[in-house]
Amino acid sequence: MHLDPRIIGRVTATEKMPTTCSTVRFWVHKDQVIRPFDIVRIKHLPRKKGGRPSYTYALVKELSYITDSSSHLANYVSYDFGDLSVEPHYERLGTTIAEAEVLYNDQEIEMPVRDGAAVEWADAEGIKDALGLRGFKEPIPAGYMLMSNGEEIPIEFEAAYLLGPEGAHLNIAGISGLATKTSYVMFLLNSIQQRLKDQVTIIIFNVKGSDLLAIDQPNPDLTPAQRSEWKKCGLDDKPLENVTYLYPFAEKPDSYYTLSHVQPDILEKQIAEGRAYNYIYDVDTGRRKLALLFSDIDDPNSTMESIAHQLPDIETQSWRAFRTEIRSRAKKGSQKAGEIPIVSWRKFVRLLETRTHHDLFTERSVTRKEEKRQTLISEAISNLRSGDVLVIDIEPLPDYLQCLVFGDVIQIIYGAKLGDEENISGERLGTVVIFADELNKYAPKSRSATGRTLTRDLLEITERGRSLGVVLFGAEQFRSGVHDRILGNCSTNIYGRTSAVEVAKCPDYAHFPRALQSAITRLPQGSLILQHAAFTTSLIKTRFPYPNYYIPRVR
Amino acid sequence: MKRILSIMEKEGLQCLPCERISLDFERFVEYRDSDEHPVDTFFERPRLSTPKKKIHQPDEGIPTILHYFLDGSRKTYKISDVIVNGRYLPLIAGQIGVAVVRRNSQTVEPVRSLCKFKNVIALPDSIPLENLEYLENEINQWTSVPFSLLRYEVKRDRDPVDLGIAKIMSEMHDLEIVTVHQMAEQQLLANDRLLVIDGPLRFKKKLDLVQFRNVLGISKTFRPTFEVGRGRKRADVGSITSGLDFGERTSVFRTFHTARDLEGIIGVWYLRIRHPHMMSNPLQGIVKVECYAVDPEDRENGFDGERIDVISSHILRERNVTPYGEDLRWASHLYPIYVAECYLKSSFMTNVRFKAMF
Repeated sequence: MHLDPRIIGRVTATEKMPTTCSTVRFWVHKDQVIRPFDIVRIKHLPRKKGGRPSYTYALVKELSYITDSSSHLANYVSYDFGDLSVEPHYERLGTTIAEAEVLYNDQEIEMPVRDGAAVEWADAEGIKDALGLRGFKEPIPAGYMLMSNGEEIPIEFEAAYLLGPEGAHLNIAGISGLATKTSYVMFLLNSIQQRLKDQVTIIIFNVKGSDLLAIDQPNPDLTPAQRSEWKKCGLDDKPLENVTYLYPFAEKPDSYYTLSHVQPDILEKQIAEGRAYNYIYDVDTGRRKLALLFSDIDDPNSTMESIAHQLPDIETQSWRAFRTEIRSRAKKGSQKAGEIPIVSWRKFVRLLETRTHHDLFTERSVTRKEEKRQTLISEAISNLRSGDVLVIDIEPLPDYLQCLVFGDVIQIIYGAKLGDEENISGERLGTVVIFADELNKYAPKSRSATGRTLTRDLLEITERGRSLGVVLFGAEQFRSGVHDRILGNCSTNIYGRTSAVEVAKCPDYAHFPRALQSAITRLPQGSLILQHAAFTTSLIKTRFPYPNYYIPRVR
Repeated sequence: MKRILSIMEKEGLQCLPCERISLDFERFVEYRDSDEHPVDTFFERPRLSTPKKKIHQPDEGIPTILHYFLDGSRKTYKISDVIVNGRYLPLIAGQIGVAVVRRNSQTVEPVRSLCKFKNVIALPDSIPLENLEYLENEINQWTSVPFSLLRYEVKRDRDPVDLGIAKIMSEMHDLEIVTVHQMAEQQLLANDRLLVIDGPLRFKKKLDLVQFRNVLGISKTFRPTFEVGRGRKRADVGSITSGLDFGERTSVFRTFHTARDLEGIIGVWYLRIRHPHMMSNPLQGIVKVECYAVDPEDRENGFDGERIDVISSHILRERNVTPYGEDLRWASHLYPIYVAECYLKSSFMTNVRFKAMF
């Protein structure tokens, strides 16, 4: 009898486990190897009697192996009542049962699939239809799916759902150390730049070593096989272009006036090309942003916040004068009726003196300008055009200064889009994608965080940014640590490997099939689970190419 | 498609509606086998000096000699009562099947070309044969699966339902015999490629014994209430059997195909394949093995003891895995036979579907 080699199993519908409109189960031929997230197609009824049969596509969610053994005890008995030396003369009758989620039928038949229907490997074109990957107006390559039979299917996001206006914002979660989260976002940003170069400006924060401080340098170690992965996704293996770097300023002439851990030869090259600057906060800019400096301070009565908002009224020419003025307000007898208590001012002064005791808070130098290359962040942003990339290194800064810089950028971009920034044209920037790792630091889940300036700004962006063209790409180790409303506004969610505790703790994993809840704790490097508003299935497992940019060692 | 009873009624057979009931209820009777043929003498050469003998399982590397396993199964239903010559007699329908499975290394797989399935209807023999043939043709024109019509002999002192079931069973045994003939003709069987049939070799027909040369019958339930020998040498088979320890067998005893067929000599012995201390009754974990004596030497002087040892050792090796928890006779069940049984039962139509055809 001729057997179609594509057939890998047959549908099984039983009294207790029938096939339904959404679920189908099939037994798998003993020689076939399949895994969760493989897509199969199943022969089904034709739309018209006597017509061509239709095909239902289904995504494998769970695999189980069953035998005819009624209990574990039966297996124990089969070894002569637990004799370890016994080798049974037979393998038990058993088979693998796959449970699959029905995705799509090519003739829009929604009837449950019939018992005994042939199950085949799905074809690439059918898979695209099944996953809803067809008809995208501006497809953004997002990786590729590798099926157990070797078939590779490119996966794409729809730009309107990734960058607005239909949907926007992306969140990626996963444990650190696998070089997956950052690598994936960098791949996606590269993909966005290659496809929508003239429409998007990218701002990236470097928070780890010097990982993202040479993203325009090609990766010299990229093998031909790794290059071909970029081709599979329909992309060139070239790194990001038009990149400018901002490093935190420091009075360290022998370190090119920066605290950054960037590799010296790379920095020299960037300086020579006029693409590296050191950012500072002069008093005029800094005093307006001080609310961001206290984002991590518990401030239940918002007194610190109130003080911070009074500071723009203080006109001084230097940080030293500014601190003196603040100190004077904290002196005994300076309090007026109905004003902020003096103890709060004193607390504020203490924090201010500690937190602004950093080289970052300085006045613009009038000497050795060329060497110091000082700039305000707003100036750097005002020089950006769509198609440009700005990398801001905040890695050497303590957490509270990282919050300040991040919050400052968010406010500038948002202000520019609303027309509140005099020197920056929101239109010229196009859609701005801001990538921030460790999002839990900026928008933690705790209830008290909602009142913080930085969290409020982020909520504003995720809730209203898509219509303005401000898009947040956030990453964190644990989704459970990030503000729910921020996650809820992301139309694209990406799940990397995480811990079993996180899966149990975070309600976002509750809708995952059981097999996936377990599999996500073992996801290999380079594999992720995607959820995107334009997909017709809730989750797709994807792989993505190896980073094509140079990742320097920490100095 | 028409319903079978309506076809019969149209052809003039009066069928009275009644509840369609399944007649298959399995009761586990520990010492079942009521029509056990008594053994009359020891039948082994040389004769064992002790009442039982220890058998050792062959090494893993030694290929098995038990290659094929055959099981027959049936499902029977009382569908209706028909009125023939003024008598109410039952219409018994059934599904019968025979499955042969083949060992393939550590797995077993059905040999589809040797598996047979049949749907039957047993009617009383007071219906003339030509009427039956006509009815069969009519039914098969209108049904999606073919049916064979059988006649059961109505006896005054017997329940006609039992007679109907017995007829269907007999038809199943015929299928088994046909299958064995088919295997012999295809030269699938040999000294080192034996066929194991589930149950005793007790077909109620005269057989071509040569074709059964390499066939064993292995029974899970039996009643060894015999004595052999005379005088001081007299031995109680029941006591010997229940006293077997793990891996021990009795001597071979002689019995006959049927009480009237003295040509069909059968050698029968008992072998314990499970440790007795885990069993719930003295005969649990013991199998009864039967084999036809075909060669003149065997027929004359009994079976060669060495050959019986080899067969027993291979049967002993078959004991694992077990259908414990699925079948009350698990301790004496050979797994390939269990698989064949599962294959047959899963190939039958469901009760609902079968009954709905009437």
